[in-house]
Amino acid sequence: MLINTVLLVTRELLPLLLLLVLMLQLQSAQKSRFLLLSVLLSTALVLLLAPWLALLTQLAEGNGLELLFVACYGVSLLALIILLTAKAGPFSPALVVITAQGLICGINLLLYSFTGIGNVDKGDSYWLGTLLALGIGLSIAVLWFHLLDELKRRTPALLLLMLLPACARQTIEALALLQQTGWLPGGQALWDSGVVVSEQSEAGVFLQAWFGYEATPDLIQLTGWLLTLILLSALGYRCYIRRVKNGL
Amino acid sequence: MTSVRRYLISVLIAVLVLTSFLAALQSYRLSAERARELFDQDLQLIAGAIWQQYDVNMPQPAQGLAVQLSRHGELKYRSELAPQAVNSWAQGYSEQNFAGKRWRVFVQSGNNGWQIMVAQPLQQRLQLADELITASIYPVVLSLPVQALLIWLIVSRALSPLRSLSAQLASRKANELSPVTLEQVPEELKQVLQSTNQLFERLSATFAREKRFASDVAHELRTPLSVLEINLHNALTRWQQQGLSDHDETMLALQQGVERMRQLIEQIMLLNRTHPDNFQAKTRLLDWVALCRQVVSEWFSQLEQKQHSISIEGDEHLMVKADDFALRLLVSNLLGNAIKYTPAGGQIRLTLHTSRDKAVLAIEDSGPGIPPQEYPQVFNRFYRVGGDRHQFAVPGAGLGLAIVKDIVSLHNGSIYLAPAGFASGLKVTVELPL
Amino acid sequence: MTLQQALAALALCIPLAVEARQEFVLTLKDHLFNPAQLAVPAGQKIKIRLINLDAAPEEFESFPLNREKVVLGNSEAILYLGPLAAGEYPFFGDYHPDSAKGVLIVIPEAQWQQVQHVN
Repeated sequence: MLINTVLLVTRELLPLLLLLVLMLQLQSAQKSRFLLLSVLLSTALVLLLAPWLALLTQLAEGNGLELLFVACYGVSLLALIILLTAKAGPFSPALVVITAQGLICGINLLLYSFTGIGNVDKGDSYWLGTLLALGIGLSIAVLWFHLLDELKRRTPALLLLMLLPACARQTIEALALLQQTGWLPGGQALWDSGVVVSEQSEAGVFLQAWFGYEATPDLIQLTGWLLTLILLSALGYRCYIRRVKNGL
Repeated sequence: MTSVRRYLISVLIAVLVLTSFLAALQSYRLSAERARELFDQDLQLIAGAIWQQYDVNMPQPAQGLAVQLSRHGELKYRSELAPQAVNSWAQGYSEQNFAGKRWRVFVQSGNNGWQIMVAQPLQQRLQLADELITASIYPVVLSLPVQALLIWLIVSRALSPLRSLSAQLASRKANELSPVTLEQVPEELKQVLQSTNQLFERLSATFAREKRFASDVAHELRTPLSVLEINLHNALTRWQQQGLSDHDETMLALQQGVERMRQLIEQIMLLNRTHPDNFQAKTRLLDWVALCRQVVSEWFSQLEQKQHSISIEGDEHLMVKADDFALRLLVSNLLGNAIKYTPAGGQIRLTLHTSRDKAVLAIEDSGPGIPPQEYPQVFNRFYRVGGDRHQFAVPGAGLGLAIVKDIVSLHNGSIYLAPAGFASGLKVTVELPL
Repeated sequence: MTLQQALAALALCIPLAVEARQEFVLTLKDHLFNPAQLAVPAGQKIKIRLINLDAAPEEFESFPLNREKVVLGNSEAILYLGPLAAGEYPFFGDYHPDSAKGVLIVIPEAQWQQVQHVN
């Protein structure tokens, strides 16, 4: 139970934290204001939706939650693309990304907390597990922050490069959810790399949060992931070159 | 990087939390696995004990439980390892010896005088407990070297601006006073860097003033000296026109004094020009032998006047990388000295050759030479051999060799003094890298 | 261009989603799946009706199936799956992983016909 709690909470928390760190690094100024605003905004949205969760899950033949998440991933992807092509890390697209991710993370954690809170048997391992997950998540975030800082100092363009795996992750997550709701056809797994890096291991959770690692992807997921990477690399490269030329 | 302190604290805490939490998770996972194996073994033990009761031929598990069942002190059933005699041990858990082992024993009495004893070998229990605990400690211990390595890396990285600052300061030459620049300046070093750079700036300004002082003075002296020279010349002409005799040679002494001052001013300015701090060397490949021939021809009238015999020996060509002006000045100063201090009819020999990776010029004269104990001092500014009571009373400022030494060090070469190969005299050897 | 393609793809998918799928029922009571081993045919599109009879919510989670579906307490959800390759796909309840465990057994179509016949 403990391990499961840790992995579950980390799995929800880590994607948000990694993106938050990336967005913070992209902001040249007003970092604390950005942090405060994004936390406030996503908390407010989660609290606003919390009473309607039961209703939400029943919408669209029981696929309401999935469709909401797909929308969140889509909006995030668009905002990330704007960030990739824009001149300097603008404030509002970054805020949109964090709010959308915060909504997904918040709702999932809220649902999970229904089982932990008030359950005497599970209480202890729930709280301990959440604490461990928080510690792991925040530690990784701090180290990630300094790593990106180092990258930014060496070559500022590397920071834009780090947007690409985040974009690919949004695509593969949205595609998997669309397949789950039956809106997209499902397919057979192309391979199983779970032996090397299991999705249930700590490394698997980190890779999943970073670029949307999937041990058993099907054709649609893989194509979507690769297409996002390739198209956005080309787009980002063109914008970067144009910006460099204009800068000269 | 804003502050070394903040960076160190945040990253170290992050690394420690991450590694210890991951180690704790791993401990949990390993111990849970061991515990499961342990409980599975218990199931197997219980199954084995029950088999014994019903089927004697059943192969015994290697590590069996011992079971003994009795009623009113009469043995009803015992497993193979259980004692023959009905036990009278205390109710509940205890440790007992039988069948050549120490056992953990559980005794329970029922109604109607029934009593059951179940025992497990103690060694087996301890071994299982040991495995369980080892499994949980193991990841924590393994995480320690990882933590140590990470802390080492992080602290080195955090202190790298400090290291880079001290390296920059250490590698500086004494005369390099440009401001120190760091790629990243942490808060803690800002003040140090600022103060250091301000100090360097003040020092550099002072040094520049000091360095220019002598040459500025020399430069300023040239004009009044020229005026003095012209007036002296005019006065002399008038004396001659009026047929005045200069019986105590006042005019000659005056003329010599002015001439000596002119040379001195010239040399002070040259010295300033060839000083390593100021000299902008334009090095190129030169033929040292040809250069020596040219210098010798420049000094030809003096050589002829003193009836010196001069020879240039050694290699036909000797290419060195040097500054043309400086090298010419060096040879000219050394040759000038030799001519100056060698009595009429003396010998001067220039030898040029290569020795390993060096180009060597030796100038020997048959003059009086210099006592070896004075060798180190002759390169000092304004030093004159034998003090002011110069035996030849040759005019000089004592700057010639100081200039030569500056030029040699400009070219990373070296200079030695030795007695000449003649009956008396001085040998000056200059080595320049090829 | 890409938006049009996406819309076209969606338009193609909707009829696929509407198309009849064989339905299987998986209930959850006292944090236990029933049946714990659910047999389904390979190579077909199927749907699984998840019925949670407990008061607590549960998340149906399966890494090999790439599915993660929340079912609130005392409610139902539908899971769209397939076509799957024959084999075993373990699943569990993310919120009670100690008890809520099960396996989806995907049987090759030829064998599936026989099983159906016997039933």
